[in-house]
Amino acid sequence: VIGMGLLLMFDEVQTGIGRTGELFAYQRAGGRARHHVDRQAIGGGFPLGACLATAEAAKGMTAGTHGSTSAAIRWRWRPATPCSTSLLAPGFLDRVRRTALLFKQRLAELKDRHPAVIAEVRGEGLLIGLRALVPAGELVDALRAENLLTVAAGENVVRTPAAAHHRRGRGGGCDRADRPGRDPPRRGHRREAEGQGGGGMTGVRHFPSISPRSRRRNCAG
Amino acid sequence: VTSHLLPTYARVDLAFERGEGAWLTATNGERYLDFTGGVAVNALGHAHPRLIEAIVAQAQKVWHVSNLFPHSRRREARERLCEASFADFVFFNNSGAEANELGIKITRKYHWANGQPERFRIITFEGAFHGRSLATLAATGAPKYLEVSSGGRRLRPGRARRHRGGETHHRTQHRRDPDRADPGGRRRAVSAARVPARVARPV
Repeated sequence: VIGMGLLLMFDEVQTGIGRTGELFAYQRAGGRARHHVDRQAIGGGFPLGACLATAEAAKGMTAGTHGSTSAAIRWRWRPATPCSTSLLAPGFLDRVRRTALLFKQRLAELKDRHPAVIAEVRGEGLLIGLRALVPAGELVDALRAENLLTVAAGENVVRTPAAAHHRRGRGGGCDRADRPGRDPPRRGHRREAEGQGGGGMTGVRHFPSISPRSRRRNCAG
Repeated sequence: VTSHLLPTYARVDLAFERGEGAWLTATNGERYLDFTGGVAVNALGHAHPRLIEAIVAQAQKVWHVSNLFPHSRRREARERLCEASFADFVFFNNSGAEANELGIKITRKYHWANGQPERFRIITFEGAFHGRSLATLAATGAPKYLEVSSGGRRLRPGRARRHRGGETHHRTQHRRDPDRADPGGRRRAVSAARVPARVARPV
């Protein structure tokens, strides 16, 4: 309950479950939520959401006031357990933070090298956006031509590294992207982090060759 | 019509048949590094062996049992979330939009329980996105959604009636509960021309 008896609610559908380097972003912001909404990533890609609340905030929710039919499917929320196990394992979120920091540094270098394409690198943790000086859709297309998948958000923002999360769970796909030949991870092969290693560096490898192409496209367009 | 998909996606001509970690393999044989992470939900990457194992193991046992009955593994997930956060309670549902809907409901129920049912308006911030259900679109408030995101009105079945001028009116019937869309609480006539649809359950 914040001032004047208002409840404070955080929508962490995007920011929760490790994306910002904390399990939830409110922990980073220093906020004290009364109730709050969780992220779909809790299912690791399986359709699953969660709403969290304090007992005080939830005092109106008595038997019969809420329910869900499909959420009763047993395996629907089964991924939540291994997903949270991995995320809360010692060192996982530290690694996310390190990766995010490194990623941001490298993206900043990229921005400096390509001031005509990238205006700003912003965001928290691995929730990073590139504010582009070209239409975001064109930059996304150019990146895809380099076998890198990103998402446009709004007119001029390209969201990047959601997947850098993966590096621990799936044996460091991002580490491998740094290697010559861009080997994908071998199935079931877990690779420990190499110190500050190349995690999250993938995009940087790709960008320099992309940006000139992107510019050419823009000129043509 | 070349495709029967509702044309709401600006699609790319690229399809994937396999994923591993941060990588996707397209049907054209090319490998792509996936920074989209599904729609930013694949926290552990594609085809994570522990997620696959959890889903397969459960699918072989039992799929769907009413929420009236408890399940130990779900309790485990809830306890873990509460230990790692501020929360006392967790409710699992299918999507982020549904989680937000429940958040809105909890908020309104809270004030209702406090004897302040008039406190139903929720302050949200510009530039945010809260989901694609109608309540969460209203919370998002982006101009492109305004035509679908205004509040609804509840009508009591059979209350449409004919007025003098021949224009059809409906008389709204707000049930006095806290999560009503428009809790003005009073009856009012609504021109049929302003009512896009009537939603009725057949039973």
